[in-house]
Amino acid sequence: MGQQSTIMLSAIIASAWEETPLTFLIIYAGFKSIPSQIYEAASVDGLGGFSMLKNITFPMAKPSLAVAALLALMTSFRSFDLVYMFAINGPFLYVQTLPYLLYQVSFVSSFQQYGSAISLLIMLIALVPTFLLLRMMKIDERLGLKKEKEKKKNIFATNLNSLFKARKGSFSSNRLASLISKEERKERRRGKRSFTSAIIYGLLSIAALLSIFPFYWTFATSLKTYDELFPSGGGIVLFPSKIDLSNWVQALRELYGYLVTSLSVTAAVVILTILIAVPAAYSISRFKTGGTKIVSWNIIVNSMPSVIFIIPLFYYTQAAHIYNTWWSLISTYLIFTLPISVWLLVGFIEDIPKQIDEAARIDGMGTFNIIWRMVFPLIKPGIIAVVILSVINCWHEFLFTLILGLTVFNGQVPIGARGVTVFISNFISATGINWATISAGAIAISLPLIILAIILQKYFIGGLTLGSTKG
Amino acid sequence: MASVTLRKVSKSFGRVTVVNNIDLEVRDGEFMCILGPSGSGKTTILRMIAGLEKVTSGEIYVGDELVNEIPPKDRDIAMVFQNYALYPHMSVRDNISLPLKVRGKSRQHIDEKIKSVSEYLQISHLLDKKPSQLSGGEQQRVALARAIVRDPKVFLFDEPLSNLDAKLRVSARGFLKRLQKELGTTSIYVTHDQAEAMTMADRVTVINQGIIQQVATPQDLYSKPANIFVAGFVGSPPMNIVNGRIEKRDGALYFKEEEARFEIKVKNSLPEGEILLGVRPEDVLVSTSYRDDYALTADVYVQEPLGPLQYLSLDMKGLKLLSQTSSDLKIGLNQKVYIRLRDDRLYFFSHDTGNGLYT
Repeated sequence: MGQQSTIMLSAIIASAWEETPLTFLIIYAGFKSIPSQIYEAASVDGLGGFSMLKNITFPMAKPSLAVAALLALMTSFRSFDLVYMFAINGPFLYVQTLPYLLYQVSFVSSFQQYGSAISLLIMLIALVPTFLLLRMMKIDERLGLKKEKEKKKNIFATNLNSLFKARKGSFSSNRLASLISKEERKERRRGKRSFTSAIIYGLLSIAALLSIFPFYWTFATSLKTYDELFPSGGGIVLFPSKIDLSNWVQALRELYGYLVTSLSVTAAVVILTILIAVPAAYSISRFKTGGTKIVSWNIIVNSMPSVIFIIPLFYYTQAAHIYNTWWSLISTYLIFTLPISVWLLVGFIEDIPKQIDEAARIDGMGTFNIIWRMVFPLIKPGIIAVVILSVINCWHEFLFTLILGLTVFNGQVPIGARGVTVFISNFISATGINWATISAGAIAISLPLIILAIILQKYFIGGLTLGSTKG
Repeated sequence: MASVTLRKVSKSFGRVTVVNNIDLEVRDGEFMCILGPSGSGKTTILRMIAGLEKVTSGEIYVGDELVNEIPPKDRDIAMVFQNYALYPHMSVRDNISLPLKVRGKSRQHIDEKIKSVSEYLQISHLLDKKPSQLSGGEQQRVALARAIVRDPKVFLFDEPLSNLDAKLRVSARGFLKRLQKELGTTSIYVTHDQAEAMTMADRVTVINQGIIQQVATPQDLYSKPANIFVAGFVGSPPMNIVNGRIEKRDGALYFKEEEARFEIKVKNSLPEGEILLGVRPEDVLVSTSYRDDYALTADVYVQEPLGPLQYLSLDMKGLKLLSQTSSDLKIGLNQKVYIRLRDDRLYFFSHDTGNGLYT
């Protein structure tokens, strides 16, 4: 019983840790979107501190708070990979979610008719937060803060857009500090450390530590010897005594096949997504082809636990003879990257004044030329957003590559659809976990994402269109 | 260069008709202003000429060529947008050269054109900047340069001055007028600002609710407004309009107003019965002391000094009249004044149709 609650608690903490950054970003974007004039008006009217938070900040950021909460709810509901990791290790199913049950029933016990019933059930339950979310998206219209044109856009798109547009870099501690008002910083410089700023800095440090520590722990573990992993006298070793690279050597040797698959699939998905999504978004935005509704409905696809699609996709890949090939993953991932990408890009394209297109048309350009020479450079932040979302989507994905992949890539393109996430789970078995090797592999897998983030950081420059048009 | 002709052109968006069966001819080399309130359909007319909107019915000619089915890029027209629509990701040089580049002009030709146009518009020092680094006035010149550079047959201007501040607008107005005369290119200029239309245009087309009200020179527009809409829209402050009747007594015609109960003798030959009287504020003469010919009285309701002149809002027993007089006239609030309406400058409009009655 004690063990059960411990595992449950671990699962909750782990998924909370996973959820926090995105939730934080959405709420932060919500806070940022409140016009500074409103704060100024409120402070003139005598509000400040807590009354400002209660009366202005929270009510006005309500849509993004709601969206963040719903998204967190939806993601935890579909939680599969974490549960899989926890479940695979234990003799009993201490932590059980519906998606995991579906997997168990369909692919371990092979009762796929029963599995289909579960997927329907999951779908019905998931529809509730999804529809709530769709309704939430209209909240900003009622607040009447948006310009006429922007009203049509929904809160979530606006939030995501503003995340990618307004932010010049990733969420660094720098930015956290900038949340503290200028006056307070000035005071601090003068040496008058105010009590509140001490508290704020204290809390921020704890938050920073909490988000960084797991990374450090993984990294440290990857360098530990077996004795340091499980010290004979019990306890925990925080700093490995010497650098032991043998875990890394082993991890990298075995990682190769998985890595090639993931890299190739991700690259293909990203390129195809952009090639399809940009013209699609342009046509929806400019020619009113009417795809807006389809795109909105497709968001439901994205918000459903992907596990409910696994049974049909499993049969589809077999029927199309692409089971266990890269194509199975590429065609599957596109289902998820395309709607959200089109959706995001429509928002970005709507932000380009129509007169730019019209001027280009009068200046002698055709539609293809306009998309390539005008739209493409102007929505660069949007393209970057699409690249990031698609890469994360592909790189992160566990369920499909677990089920649609049978073997590891061994030099025979495009056979072997097991991606890097499966690599990790392969080191977890009922007989034991090779923590050090897993950690080395995990760091190695994260590296491409970290490198991508660093490369793309400088492109998060908003306001490209500022000044092109006035009024 | 070419004339632009619209024949029975209509445009509807769904059930809403924004441009209703208009005929318009813009002569070769002419500066034509299309003047109207917002929502009058004036921008739609411009966009149809540009080819950005398809006509619902009717024909548009540039020169002798029917352009209804010709896409914008092949119509050989240039357009300056209200917000300039400069390409934000391109330098000023690239912005200006783009129309030539996509038409496959040689590099040498492009360089020469850019040089001459940028010198002409005094933007040579801006060529390597991005639009966002420019001031409003500079952006406007770049937009003009982009239009001029390819020597189009027709310029279209969509309220190009409305984003400039008041002072710059006046100087840009003169600059644009001069530019048009020097280039001699047929220009169609859309605006809701009657001062812009009056000062710049060779002829003005006044449009309201998709229907052309009058096409005339600025002077004719002012002195002979075709109807009550034109009378009220052209001129600032607007013309006073007074309801009344024409009555015939002893062989003479009198305009009789019911509310303030005043009567003036009119020289024009007008039909008896209900009528609308128009009188411009500068033709409402005010005196502080009684004079024979200043037969009407009123109280000063509001006084608005404007430096050299002042606006007086006058209250004649509930009837409000606006007068524009010299600031030399010292006057106080609620002061009783004597009024004369210049009888050679009275306008009469049909009560039923609103059309001007001229003899």
